[in-house]
Amino acid sequence: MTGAAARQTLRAVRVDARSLAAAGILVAGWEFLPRRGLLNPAYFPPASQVVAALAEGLSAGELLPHVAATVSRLLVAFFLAALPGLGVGVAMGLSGTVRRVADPYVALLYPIPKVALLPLMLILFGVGERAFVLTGALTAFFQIVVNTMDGIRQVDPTLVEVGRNYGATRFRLFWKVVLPAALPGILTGLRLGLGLTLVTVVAVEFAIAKSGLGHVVWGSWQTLTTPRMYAAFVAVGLLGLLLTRGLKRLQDRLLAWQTSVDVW
Amino acid sequence: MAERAGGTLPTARVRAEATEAKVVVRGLSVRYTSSRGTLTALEDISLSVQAGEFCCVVGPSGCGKSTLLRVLAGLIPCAEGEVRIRSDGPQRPLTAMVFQDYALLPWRTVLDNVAFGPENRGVPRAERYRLAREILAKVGLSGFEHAYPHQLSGGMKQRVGIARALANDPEVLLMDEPLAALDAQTRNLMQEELLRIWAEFGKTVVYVTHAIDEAVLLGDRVVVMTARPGRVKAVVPVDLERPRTLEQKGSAHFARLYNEVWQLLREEVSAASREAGGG
Ligand SMILES: Nc1ncnc2c1ncn2[C@@H]1O[C@H](COP(=O)(O)OP(=O)(O)O)[C@@H](O)[C@H]1O
Ligand SMILES: [Mg+2]
Repeated sequence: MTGAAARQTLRAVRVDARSLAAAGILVAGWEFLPRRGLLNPAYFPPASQVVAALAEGLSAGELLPHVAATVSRLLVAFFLAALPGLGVGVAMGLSGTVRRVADPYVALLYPIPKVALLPLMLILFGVGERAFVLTGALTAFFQIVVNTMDGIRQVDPTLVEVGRNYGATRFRLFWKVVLPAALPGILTGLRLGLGLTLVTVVAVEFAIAKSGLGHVVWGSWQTLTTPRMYAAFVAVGLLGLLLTRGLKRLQDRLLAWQTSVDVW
Repeated sequence: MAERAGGTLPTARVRAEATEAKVVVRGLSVRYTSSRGTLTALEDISLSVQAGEFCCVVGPSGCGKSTLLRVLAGLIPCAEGEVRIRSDGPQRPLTAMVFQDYALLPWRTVLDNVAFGPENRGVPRAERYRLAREILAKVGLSGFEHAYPHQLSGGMKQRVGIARALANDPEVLLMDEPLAALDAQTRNLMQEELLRIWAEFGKTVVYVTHAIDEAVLLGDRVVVMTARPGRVKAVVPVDLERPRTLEQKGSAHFARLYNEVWQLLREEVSAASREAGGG
């Protein structure tokens, strides 16, 4: 492949050559440091072993159910949270009354790591999917509420004046002015919510679930099968990358009107 | 979004025969109330603007010029005094505002920005786009219909802002320091453009600026306001002949008018800066 063709391919899959080079250096280091004995291979198995474990786990179907369990918990939690989160965030952003009523609760609950609420969920719902998923949903919910509210609060008041002076009804003021103006903040909330919910779901699996990538990590530690543990790490990482990349792409498409710069 | 104290009267729409002038402001006072107390922005403003007149308002910064336009635009209720705008077309909006920092909707194309007012009033798509294209051509923006605001220069953005206001076909065009953000050369060009556009559309205009030369060049009258709380200090009629051109800025007559306004303004400006400096 010529250099130009390679660059073109990279552009097509939207991977920057610099990102690829950085990843290459990491993988190379991960491969050779344990092999040269500079890192203890019992704790840091070389990359090729991890990839082999991952490939085997996926092809033998042993890891696949765990990936599926994590993904389905994540998605159910996220969608359970998204609609009410957007609704509450919008209401708090638009109405001072709603904001003053709800703010103490949100301010209090938002910073609590939602994994810490798992025991409460277990008491309320018993050990099972409902408790796992709701714990994840709480993470996404508060993130989405906070970013949506801020996004709406930060809308340039002059644009609202434009809407009112140019005859927009309250309905159109919301749909045609406030919402598009707040969209960057709202989409950021969704993206962060999804990412953090993955963290919570994996932690919940780690702690108690009998399936999922978090569970694989825990199980591999107990049996000291480190390549399998790393394979699960990598799977979680790739999952996060895939999901947030997907949302980022949606965000870029929806927000093509925005400009951004690389400061350096 | 800003929350505003509920006031009493919105800007009133009155029928044509009810009043002579196009805009009548009588005894208008505006106070802002915040946690730090009450601030009187405008005090006992009385002013009328004739149909088709280009009325300029100058005053030191913070004297309430934007506040006056906001009241005329119906964005701030008129709690004390009276504001009336004569309506000559029952379907026409009373005002359309052109903002200093353009205030375009950045997610909309130029065409959709200009069509925003008619769209709000339910004008069908084909009709409002036809109108928007026609007006974009008149402000010299043909070919930029599908550009986004961030792709345009400051001068072009403000042409879009002006086109958006004209597309709304208001009874009165309100302009709040529309050229203040532009560089000097672009500002000169846009002053000429405004003269041409005003002559073509024949709108009643209330035009706020802090540039005296701009006020004298564009206006039929220049209203000079006092430092805060803003009052009308004087009204200077501008009897330069029309159609006006930039060249008139070099005339002795222009210099006399400029000086007259400046003499009225200078003590207000220094009063305003003393207040700003002394906290
Ligand atoms: N929403 C507001 N709340 C409180 N004070 C305001 C508000 N808007 C303007 N002011 C104050 O009112 C005064 C007049 O403001 P403004 O009309 O913007 O002046 P100008 O346009 O002449 O510079 C200023 O002192 C300003 O700080
Ligand atoms: Mg102002």
